[in-house]
Amino acid sequence: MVHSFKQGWQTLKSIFTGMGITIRHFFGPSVTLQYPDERDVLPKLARSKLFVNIDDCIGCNLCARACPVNCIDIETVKAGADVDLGKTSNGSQKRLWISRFVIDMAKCMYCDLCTYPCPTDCIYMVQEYEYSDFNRDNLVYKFSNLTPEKIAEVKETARIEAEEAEKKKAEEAAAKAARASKASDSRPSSVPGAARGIPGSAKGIPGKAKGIPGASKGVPGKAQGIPGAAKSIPGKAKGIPGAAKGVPGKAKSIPGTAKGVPGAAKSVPTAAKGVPGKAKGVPGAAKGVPGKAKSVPTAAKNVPGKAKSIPGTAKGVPGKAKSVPTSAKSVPGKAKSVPGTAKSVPGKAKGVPGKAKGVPGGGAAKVPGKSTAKQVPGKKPPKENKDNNTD
Amino acid sequence: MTWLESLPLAVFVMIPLVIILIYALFAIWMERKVAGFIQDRLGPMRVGGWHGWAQSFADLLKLIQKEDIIPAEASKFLFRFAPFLMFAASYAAFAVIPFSSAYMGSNIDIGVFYLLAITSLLTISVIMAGWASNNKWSLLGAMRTAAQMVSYEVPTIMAVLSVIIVAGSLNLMTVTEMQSGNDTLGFLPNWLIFQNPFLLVAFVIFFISILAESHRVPFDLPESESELVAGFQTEYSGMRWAMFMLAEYADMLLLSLLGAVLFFGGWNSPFGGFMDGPIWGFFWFMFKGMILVFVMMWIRWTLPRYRVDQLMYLCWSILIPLSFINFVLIALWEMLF
Ligand code: SF4
Ligand code: SF4
Repeated sequence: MVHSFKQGWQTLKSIFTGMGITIRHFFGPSVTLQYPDERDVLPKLARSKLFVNIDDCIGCNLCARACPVNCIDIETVKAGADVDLGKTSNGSQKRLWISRFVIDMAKCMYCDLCTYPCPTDCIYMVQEYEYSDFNRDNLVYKFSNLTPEKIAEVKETARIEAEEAEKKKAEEAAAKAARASKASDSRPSSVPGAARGIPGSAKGIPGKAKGIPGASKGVPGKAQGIPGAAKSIPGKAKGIPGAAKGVPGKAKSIPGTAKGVPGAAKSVPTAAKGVPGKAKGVPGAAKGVPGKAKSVPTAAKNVPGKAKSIPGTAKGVPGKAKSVPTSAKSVPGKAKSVPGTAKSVPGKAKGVPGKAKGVPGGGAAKVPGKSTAKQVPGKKPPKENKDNNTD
Repeated sequence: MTWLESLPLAVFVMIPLVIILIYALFAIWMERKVAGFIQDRLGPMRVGGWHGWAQSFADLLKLIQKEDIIPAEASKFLFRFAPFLMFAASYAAFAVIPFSSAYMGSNIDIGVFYLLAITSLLTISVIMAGWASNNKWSLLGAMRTAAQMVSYEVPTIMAVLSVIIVAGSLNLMTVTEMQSGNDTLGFLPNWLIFQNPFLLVAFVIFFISILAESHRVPFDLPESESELVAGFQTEYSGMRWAMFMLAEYADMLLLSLLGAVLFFGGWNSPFGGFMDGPIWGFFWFMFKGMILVFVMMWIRWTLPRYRVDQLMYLCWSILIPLSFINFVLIALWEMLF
């Protein structure tokens, strides 16, 4: 009984307490705004809408790469050598036409990540937030200030220029090849090394190409190797001395790989026998940014080989590795190997500057010029490569 | 009687209808404003200019334009009939409310009895609507409503009877008239609430019960949105639904006005002869009624809803015994003093 009365009293008390609170709010000021008539002042760095000052944009694509949802789409065209696009407000030279710069604000999540990497601070948030629309397409903002005609024009110019450049290169290559063949004829034995030049990975990447160089006249084949993303180091040039040495970073010329050690590594070994090789490795950015590693050994004398390997990212993102040796003599070709995929091994060398694509399983290398050599890279598919993928 | 002769009578009868309609438009707007202010908002602000005063008109216009939907499996006649029966019952009850010393629809001696009887029709119309909708939420809502209204009628009637003992008449005009003057303790008006300490308890019981009878929070189980969609009104839309709303607001006003008559001196001015007279009387009467309506709204935006079993417990285990005891105590007090 006493308990019931106590409870009843408590109930009444709490009802009146509650009503006291509500009546205070009833007479208190309202906290809402009459929106279209009144507007709140936004904080200075409010993220409302992206804006790009296209005059300052150098087309570096950093903002697009930083965007987690890929809502920035940039297309650039190289400006011709004789065209001066001017400078940005902070003094960087502009070298690219921005033929397309669109931001899909419907996809944007306002994380602001795109604004930080911009070297010229030309992409930033503005405080306009009233841009809703009935049509999603209208939320795709276009910032490029080139007209379609202008874009067509600059693209055409760029194409012509690229063609010319290629021609020039081809000529140069031909000249070099001629020189190389002379040299290799005379000193065949000294060149084989090139072929092995790029072993695969340090860790058992099958693709260790053995290059079987020799096929023709000691003309190296190519090499290969491409290391997988994680632990491989291309560039190790085995027949070519020097590789190991003088390679900064990881001994084996390609740094960065596994652990994402940034830093470029360059190794310019000189071949003992006069076959210098060059290995350049640009490892990826530390975290998941795929980097590239290039190793470009050029044989000094007769067998210049170029090997490029672009290892994947530190984190198992398969990258691409390319090794493109050009043989002095007409032989070598290019070897491409894509490590991440476990399938690297160069394989065939076709024709002179041909390309060699490697399938680790095995591959045939044709040595132009003379005979066909089989390249049998490791027979087993690389276990390690699999690991690389998951790294 | 020709139509011309019956015209004055028609106008006479229509007066409460006009009051109800104006009141309903105002109360709906006011409910939203009260809700807004209590929640630190402003409520409707745009329609009509000053504080969105025309919001209710806009809503009414919208409701009139709505498609008239009757569910295919519904019992057509009962479905159509229920809202009108409900409103008719609310409206009919206004006949015995003395709006001012000069106006009362029907000055009959069994006013209170009539009022309580006719409001029982509301229960029937609610069940009718729920049953005719052929929808389980509607039916559940209707059953809850019926149970609630029937239960709470008991404490309401006991509280009203307690007042009738003191007043000695079932005629609401007589009850109002006997409360005029300012003699209590020398300055308080002679309102019944000040006449007898136990009438204060009676008023509390009465107020809780009318909250439940007009299904206001915390007793809004019939329409508890979170459980029953909208209770017995689930299948209703457009003007039929508006009719239910109108009846509900009319019911709220009716019971508030009844409270004003029984406890707060009806149309009597709180200042004795000052600001007295039929017009002022009407003003004071509506003013008192609206204050009670406001308290109902205030409670609505303060308290959470009861559970069904708590609702029944409160009624049968607390209010009813309490009202009986109180009834006896009031009778004793009247005998002794
Ligand atoms: S704010 Fe974030 S989501 Fe939006 S474009 Fe920039 S990086 Fe992408
Ligand atoms: S980061 Fe800046 S400069 Fe680079 S493309 Fe984006 S907007 Fe242009």
